[in-house]
Amino acid sequence: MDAHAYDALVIGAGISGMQAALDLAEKGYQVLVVERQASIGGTMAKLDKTFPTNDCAICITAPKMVELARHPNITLLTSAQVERVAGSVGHFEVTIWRQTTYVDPEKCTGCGDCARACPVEVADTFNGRLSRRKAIYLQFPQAVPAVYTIDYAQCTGCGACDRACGPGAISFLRRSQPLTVTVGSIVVATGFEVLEPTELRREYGYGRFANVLTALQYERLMAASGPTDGHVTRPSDGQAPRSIAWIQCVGSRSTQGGHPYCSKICCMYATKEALITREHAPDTATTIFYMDLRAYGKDFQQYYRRAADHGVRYVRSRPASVSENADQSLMLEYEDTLTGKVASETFDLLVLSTAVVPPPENRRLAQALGIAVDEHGFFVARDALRAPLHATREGIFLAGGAQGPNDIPDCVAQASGAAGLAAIPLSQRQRTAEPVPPAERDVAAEAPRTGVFVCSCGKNIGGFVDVEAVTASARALPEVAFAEACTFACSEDAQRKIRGAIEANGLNRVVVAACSPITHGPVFQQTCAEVGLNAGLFEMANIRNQCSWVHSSEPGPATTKAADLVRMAVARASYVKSLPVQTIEVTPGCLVIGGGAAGMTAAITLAEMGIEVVLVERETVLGGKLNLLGKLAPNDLPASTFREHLVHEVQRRPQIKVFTGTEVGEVSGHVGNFQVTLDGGLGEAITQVQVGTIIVATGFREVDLRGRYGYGDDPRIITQLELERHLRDGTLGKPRSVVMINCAGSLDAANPSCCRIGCSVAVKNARLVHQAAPGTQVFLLYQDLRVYGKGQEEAFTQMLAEVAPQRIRYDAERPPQVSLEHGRIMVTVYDTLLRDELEVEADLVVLTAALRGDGETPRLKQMLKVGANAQDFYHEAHAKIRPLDFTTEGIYLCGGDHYPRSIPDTLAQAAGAASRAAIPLLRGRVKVEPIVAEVEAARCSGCGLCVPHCPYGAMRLDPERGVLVIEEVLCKGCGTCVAACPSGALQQRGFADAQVLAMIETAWEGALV
Amino acid sequence: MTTALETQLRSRAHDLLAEGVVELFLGYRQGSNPLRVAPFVARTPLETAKLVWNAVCVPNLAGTLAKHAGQRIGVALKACDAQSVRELLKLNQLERSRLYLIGIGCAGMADPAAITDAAPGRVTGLAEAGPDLVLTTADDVVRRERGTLLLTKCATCTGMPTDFCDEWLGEAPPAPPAVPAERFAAVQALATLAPPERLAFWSEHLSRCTLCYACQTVCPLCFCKECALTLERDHPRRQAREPMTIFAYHLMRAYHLADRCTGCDECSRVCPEDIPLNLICRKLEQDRSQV
Amino acid sequence: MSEPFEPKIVGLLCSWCAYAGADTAGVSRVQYPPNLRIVRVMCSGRVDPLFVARAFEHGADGVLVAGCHPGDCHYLSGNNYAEERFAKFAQLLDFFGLDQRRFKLAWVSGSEGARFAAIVAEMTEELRALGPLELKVQ
Repeated sequence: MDAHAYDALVIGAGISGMQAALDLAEKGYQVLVVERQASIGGTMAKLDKTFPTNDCAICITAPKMVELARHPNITLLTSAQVERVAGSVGHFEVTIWRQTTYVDPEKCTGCGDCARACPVEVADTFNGRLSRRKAIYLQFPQAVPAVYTIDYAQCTGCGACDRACGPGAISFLRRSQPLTVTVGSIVVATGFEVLEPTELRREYGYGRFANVLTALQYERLMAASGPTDGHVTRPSDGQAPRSIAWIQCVGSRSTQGGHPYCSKICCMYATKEALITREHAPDTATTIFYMDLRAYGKDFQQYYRRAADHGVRYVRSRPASVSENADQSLMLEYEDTLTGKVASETFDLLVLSTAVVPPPENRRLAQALGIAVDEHGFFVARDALRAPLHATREGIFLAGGAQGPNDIPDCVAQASGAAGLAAIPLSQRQRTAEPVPPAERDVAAEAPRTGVFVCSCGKNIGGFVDVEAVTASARALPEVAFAEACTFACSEDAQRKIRGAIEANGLNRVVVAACSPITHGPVFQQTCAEVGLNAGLFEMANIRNQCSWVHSSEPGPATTKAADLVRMAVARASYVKSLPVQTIEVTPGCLVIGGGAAGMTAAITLAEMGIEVVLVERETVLGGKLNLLGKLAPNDLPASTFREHLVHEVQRRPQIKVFTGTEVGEVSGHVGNFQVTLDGGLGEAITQVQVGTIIVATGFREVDLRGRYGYGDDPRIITQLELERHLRDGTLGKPRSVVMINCAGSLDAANPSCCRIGCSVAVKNARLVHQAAPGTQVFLLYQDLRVYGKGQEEAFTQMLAEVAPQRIRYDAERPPQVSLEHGRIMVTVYDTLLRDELEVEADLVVLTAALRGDGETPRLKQMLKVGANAQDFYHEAHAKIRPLDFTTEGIYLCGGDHYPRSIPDTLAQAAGAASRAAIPLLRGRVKVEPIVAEVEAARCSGCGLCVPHCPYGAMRLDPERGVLVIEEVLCKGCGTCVAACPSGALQQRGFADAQVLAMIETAWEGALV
Repeated sequence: MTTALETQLRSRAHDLLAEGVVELFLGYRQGSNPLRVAPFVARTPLETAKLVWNAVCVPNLAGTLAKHAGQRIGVALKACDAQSVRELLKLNQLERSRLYLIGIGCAGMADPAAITDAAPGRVTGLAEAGPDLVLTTADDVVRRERGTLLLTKCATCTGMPTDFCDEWLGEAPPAPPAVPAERFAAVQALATLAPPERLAFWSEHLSRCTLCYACQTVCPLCFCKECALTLERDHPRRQAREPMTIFAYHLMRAYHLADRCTGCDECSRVCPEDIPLNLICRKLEQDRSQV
Repeated sequence: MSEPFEPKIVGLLCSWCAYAGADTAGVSRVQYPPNLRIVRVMCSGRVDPLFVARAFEHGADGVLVAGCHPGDCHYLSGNNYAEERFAKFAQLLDFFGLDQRRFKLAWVSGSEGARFAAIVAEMTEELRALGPLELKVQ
């Protein structure tokens, strides 16, 4: 292949870009990733925790970063940007500008000697300028690539770094260069920035008052690796603040401010920041000033309630002004709109939840790519409803923050979706086959002959640890046949020497004492593999991160410890075995359960990738909810038109086999090979199909409100779904007054969740009712108006202008009452803003009913061995970074069965699920984790203590033989089951008891501290 | 002298074997002296005549039962044995459908030490007389209220699991009583010590341990085919009886039994060094009851 | 007693969070006492209490087990099982009279380098005060 020919280009390597790149690369396509910054990771790498699970952000980002950097099908260019794109889909010619960083990434070991030598200190932008760094720097400790960068704008050219650099990685002669490549398709994932409100809202004092921060700066203050090691302190005096206020919608939802849209993520991150602040320092008073509290996502409302229960105070207000007190605390003037009280209150620290804005870079990039941006600078979709991920130029796709505010799971879903769509133009291309591993030496029968290589990492280890002494002590160990010191073990030169030593000395185990196995293990494993040693026969002693770097002032004990760590590694090496890499063949084809918008889109996307699909729909017609709806936001397209379009697209593709009026009967097997029974109903045929993967797209339903709000007592009291039917069929009539009650059956004790889409549906339907019956007075009863998605805030504003509804905000504690009096429908409600009870006569009451997952979920989840919550919504594998996967490998989900969502979001998820489900199918084989659990049947007594410990359903008891059976393809290699086994019959390859104990037992063997 | 209970038991065992309901029947036979019994498997109706039931039927039959798993087997169960059987069923070591469980209205077993105290010298006869036990030695006949001679575990018995056995012999089981406080008295006393004193207590006792593994061998709930804790018998540290090695063995044995031990105290009964291993049983029981 | 007592600690760390946290401590050059020897496992759920018992048997004065924060487990629930197991195990250690400070279960994320160092420093300090683990028979 031409060195400059790639299959796909991904621009931006935050969470969206990384996901898109990995999804494409996993399918076997060659991906070029271009990132403007020196490290990949994007905004997510800067966050402390993520809502609503409080997952540590870097902990879940870093493994993806490492995976991306190591992926054989991914080429990563950092400090680079796209200059020009010529050609067309399938044959784009892309010019990329590679900014020099003056550091050779091949030679840099990430040791940091250069930064210590550098005399220039500048504000650290990664930390929101709350700390300082050097002009040569690593963006953050987990940066990928772990290569230092010179900030040329700040560099004085003194050369101190060059002199300090052991491996000689720095050269000021390195030039920035253009690079031209060809690609077939492009994913744009340039992310977002947050508004720094200096010019915009001077009244909040940002930039003027020391103790006013943006929420992103506050994230850095909270982060353990941030400027204050995770201790929240005031910038002015370093003291812990006793009170902190957050102001929401700073710059957002404001036409004057230039950002009329809702930034979507701020209510939740402010809630998270306040909640975690109180968890760390329970005496800190935290107050959030909000307009509407938009806790619209899965488990968001519960998270918000939890924060409120933990003492986070919520004040419904947009503060008028901020002034600074003498002690640099901040005085806020505000009116609480729920009590009507005007107050002024002092806070030690003020955090501004500022608008999510597009990177200024977008406009230039849009020109280079020949695609459109909106008036704000976000990239726009070709069709906001039907093609939310297609940019306006064929072959270019959008994901994540690049096209508007999005939370992480939506970014990931869109990224997978964009990757799925970007794979379509590539479907005729040759995909990269799995690399054939080099032939391996069989060493099972040999006694251990271990080679030890002790790295001094320039001065990083050698400066504090006596490397020669460590090498000598290793040489004295009986199993060690060869020991040698080296300067930079990871250098190409040293690797060659290691390979030579293995061959010359017949070594069958290799221990490298250097840095961390997490970052460098695979490098050395590759080296060993090249001379026939299996990866399992390699072991690493981390004498840099765990020794020289953390015991710099104690060279004696550091050397002793290094010798101990080497002895432990050698002891372990004596017990290690080859780890066979196993793969299993994948049955081609994907089963899609559910023929609504999500299922049909997933099926079409898969078919376009060239994959056979079995699409199963329980009803007799395809379409799902589209059969029930009137017109769709944002452009009032009739749902029937959209349905017909999708059905046509499904039916014209021979790869899609449709089974309507059919239910899934039984499912057995595992990823790569599922056997599924399709039941056509009474008297109909039962069909057996075999597929490699499964997508679940079974949608949602309204809860049954009978007995509440008078529902069921009068045909004039209906739900939104029933209203949609009236609007579709033109049977609305001419009601004089329509009362819409939002959150009917939601946000209460029985069902605390927010249905996510109810407010948007109400906003859309209020307008459609107004159009169908002009002159109708619409009353909109709501708790918080949670319109959140792209264009929805604007649609809301437009509706207010057109319909002029009477808006009444009620409280969950005093829900509206609907009563029938002599044939009249009366709605009484306490308006929390007017602080008065109102009575309204309604000709039509429309209930925005709570939503729950499909009624079949309890049955399906058992069959598929997946989980679901009390509302019958399925549990995704990870709320943030795996929104489309189940924990059971090979099964994916999309659409309303995950949680209710808008149609564009549903389509994005559907394309994403198709992308995920296509990976094993396009690869043709699935890899089995090499470090799986294994059972010695003769020792297993079949007690079953281990079985419930497996989160992946990989183990079961064989009732015939009374022993455990492991489905290796499902095992992820955590070893939790192994620790539950009392007899030792269960072991983990690579982490067997004997291997771990060898280290434990030699750790302090005769050692002195 | 045969008690009514013993006669009933033999007759039921006889019938079960004769009718082919079971292939084997597990109970006790008399041992080498009146204070000894041994687990006994009757294979024919005729052999059931050897079955005994008296005040020293202490050994837990659950372990023996597990060794015959796979065959249809009847068994006479005391409350404590039944607890162990129930645990083994939970852990798939037995199949309920192959078991025929006869619950015995057990009045509690006598403590050999208490018998020796009451009747010094070689006991040549042991009989029941109403609420009393009659002990015969070469030169005396001693009559004691049974309750005064009981093993501690019996004096504080927690009762038979309800709805568990297929049939009952003897007095119907009383409702499980509230666990008597004195059951945990010794553990409680140990808990009041400072950790170093507790460590000293165990160091002292465990210093006698010879790592004979009798405690492991006898335990009905140690069902592993090979015990991971006793595998390395030849390890030099074990040979040398290193105190920390012994300590680690007992610590891990306790951990492995944490969710399983049913408190039958067989471990301390068989310990040749009289290490108070039953304290561990009580501790595990106490911890579980607090969950 | 000429030399001050230096405790010997064995650390069993999960690869994804705690081990990464120890790496971060290194990258950030956070100093802590050299009294710990680290053994890497994939998940804190892999840590069999047997490992802890054997560490004590083979000379450790203290054992540290560390994994991902609750909810952060790379394998969904391994750390929950670790917590469950070691709650039980710690009760037994106490029952046998082993000082509670000799065994610690901690949650350390990949970014908490400073926290990891602080945990090791604190444990070292506590064990220094406590002295060596010895079984004394009067």
